[in-house]
Amino acid sequence: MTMQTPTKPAKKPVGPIRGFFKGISSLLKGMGVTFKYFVHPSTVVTQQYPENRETLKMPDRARIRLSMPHDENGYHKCTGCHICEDACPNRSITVVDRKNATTKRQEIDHFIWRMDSCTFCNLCVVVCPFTALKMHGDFENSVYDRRLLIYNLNRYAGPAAPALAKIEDPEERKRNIDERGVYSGLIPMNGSAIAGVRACGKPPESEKVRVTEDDIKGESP
Amino acid sequence: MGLVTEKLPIFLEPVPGGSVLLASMDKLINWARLNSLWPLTFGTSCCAIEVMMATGAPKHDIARFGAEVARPSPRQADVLVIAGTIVKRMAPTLRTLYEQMAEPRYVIATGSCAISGGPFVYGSYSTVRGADEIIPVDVYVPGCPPRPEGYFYGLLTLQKMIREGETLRHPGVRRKPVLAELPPGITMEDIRRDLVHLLEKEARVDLREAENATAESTERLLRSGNSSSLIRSTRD
Amino acid sequence: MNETTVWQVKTIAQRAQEALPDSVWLSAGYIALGLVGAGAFVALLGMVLIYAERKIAAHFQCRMGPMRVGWHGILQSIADTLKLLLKEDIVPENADKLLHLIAPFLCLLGALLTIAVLPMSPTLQVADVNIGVLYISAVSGLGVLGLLVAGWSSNNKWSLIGAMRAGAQIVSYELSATLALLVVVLLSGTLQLSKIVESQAQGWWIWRAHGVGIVSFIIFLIASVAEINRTPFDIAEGESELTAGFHTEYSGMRFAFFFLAEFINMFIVSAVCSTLFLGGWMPFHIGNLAGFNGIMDLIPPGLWFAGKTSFIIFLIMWFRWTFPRLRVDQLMKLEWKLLLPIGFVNLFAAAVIVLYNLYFFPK
Repeated sequence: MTMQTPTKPAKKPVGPIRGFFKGISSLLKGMGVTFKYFVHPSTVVTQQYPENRETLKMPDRARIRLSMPHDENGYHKCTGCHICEDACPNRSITVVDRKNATTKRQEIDHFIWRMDSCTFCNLCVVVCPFTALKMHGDFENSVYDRRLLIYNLNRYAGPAAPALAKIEDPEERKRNIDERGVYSGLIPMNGSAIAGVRACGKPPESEKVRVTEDDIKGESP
Repeated sequence: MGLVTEKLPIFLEPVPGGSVLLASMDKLINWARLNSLWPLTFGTSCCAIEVMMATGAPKHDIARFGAEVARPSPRQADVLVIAGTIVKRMAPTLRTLYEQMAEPRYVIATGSCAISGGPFVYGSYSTVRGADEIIPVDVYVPGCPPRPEGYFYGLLTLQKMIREGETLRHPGVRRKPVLAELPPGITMEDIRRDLVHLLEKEARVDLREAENATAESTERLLRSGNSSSLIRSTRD
Repeated sequence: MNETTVWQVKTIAQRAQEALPDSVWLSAGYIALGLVGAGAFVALLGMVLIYAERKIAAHFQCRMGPMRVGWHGILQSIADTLKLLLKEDIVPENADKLLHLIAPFLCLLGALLTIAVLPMSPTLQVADVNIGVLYISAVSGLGVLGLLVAGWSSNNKWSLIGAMRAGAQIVSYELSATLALLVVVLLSGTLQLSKIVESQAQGWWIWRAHGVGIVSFIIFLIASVAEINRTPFDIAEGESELTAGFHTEYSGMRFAFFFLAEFINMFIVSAVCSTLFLGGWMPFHIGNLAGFNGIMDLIPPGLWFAGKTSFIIFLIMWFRWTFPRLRVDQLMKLEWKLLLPIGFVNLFAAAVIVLYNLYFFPK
């Protein structure tokens, strides 16, 4: 049995003279709408960006820049487990870990995030078991050189905050921590070996973190 | 450099106090150029919606910067805003468009695809890993896609480069100023030292080849299967 | 008959002529003043109109236009002009160099020549040709020539298509525009522009000629908007259509001339419209109200002209930012099947009115 679609009565086509006047009235109605916008300045919706910088807030869930939040003591929660690195679809995260001399456990050395290829898919944030990563709304990121878009997200190399909290002595804590800057090691080029970071398919040539004068004058590391 | 200024430096240099005159001409000319950047409509992908169309819309209005006159013809446009992925098939066209633009011309690469290949940087057979393999880029605006305010910041960065980096004395030379502040933890010395090391030892950037690249040589390069010889990518 | 004020009309050409027997230099000075004045007027007006267009367009679209280049963007036109002056000059390799060079000037020439005969006030008119209306129609043909030459000389097939479309469009709409103009010529009995303005002392032709006046005003407005290639009729240079149409291969200052020519043409069309239908510099008089008429006369006639022309310019910009673009076949259909027949009927009715003295108001 076929479905019966309801039929509407056929509409009479509009005659030429009636169509002419309907056309003119539609034109005038359109002009009325734009005129209303023109004479009501309150309909202006523009947000003037550089002028409203003080009060501009991005939404909470805005995924504009990745960061590793550090708490009030300056400790992050990353343990160097590499789960985010595996989850990233296009290898925009490189986690360099090291072994803690004292506790013989794995800990984070460099957390290298490439903003020039990141697609802000949020998988790394979602997948991290320690909620060490967060995306926030800092959008003022333009650079003149794309090498400046490869960031080091951790401010220190060392154990995560819970492990550090177990150490009572503040001096002991400091000994476990090595400072890291925003750009670690050589300002890296696209995919070539960063000091200490394995480039895809190439063995690491050196464990040195920062370039010294000897490196420049001497042989290649 | 234009119907007017081709003659100017020759006339003005020997004049005593000429450097003051040239400096203020610089300021005037750079002011005129940075306040009237007409983009070329070159949106290939999703960034076109955010970067090109959303900035033209009323909420974030690029007309405030004087840049809403988007000319479709490259001869009349100032800045080539690469908004979207550059695929290997599009690359010769991009090179042609860039060469058709009239000097002075600027390039802004917006979005991950135009900066480095973006989502396609790992294992794609068809994408160019970043627009700077084809044309020289002045400003990179990261994001996927960048927010309109982020793109405005990129435009302001380009304006800063025009204001501080160009002068009549050296037409065609563009110096990129250091951004407002260096990121914490590094100094200019660090950057210079690292770059020297990099260029001498590790990076394989052939500047001469980059400068002399033409549409044909670029096309040959792309067909030969190496996604780039200008900047080696080990992610293919 | 209500004579409130008598306007003394004197053009710069007349002054030059009268000064000639006394001093050749004074006469030459007047001529130079006319030329330079017209040129400077065109340049300044172009910059003002471009700024006005951007601001008005913005406010129609719920946004603000240029805001950062000076207070509320006032210096935007200056920045644009300076930048265009300093851009590299490109001539395509296989282009016809001479034609490529003169095309922008032809466009601007049509505009400049028309400014010379516009009566902007009783004492501000460069030359009062006794075939004023015919002269305007003829000289606006130079604009078409500029377009066609630009498209042809670029050695670019898309430019050529754009130029041909523009040429066809302009030539067709010239007919309707001229038919509408003829109505006013019939009613006022003269082709001379200053006399047409003076004939509107009792009332502007738009209502004094009752139905015929309004219809021909509308026809002239639509036809002129089509002639100057403005949306909704800008298929020839619409940005999404043919890249930039006939001026694709122009850069820098030459492109600036095309850009300027479009806005100056808009001004000219508005000025001609307001001269013929809205009374030019004639103030607005109502019948016998001497007091009201006296107050209206206090406003200087130059300001009346400016006000009316600005109103029509605003109307044309309003059209641009409200209506979508017409396809080229819809454009042609509009002209040949709608405007032209209505124009003919209108002209016939106007002829009947003149023949049988069927005026509403006293002549």
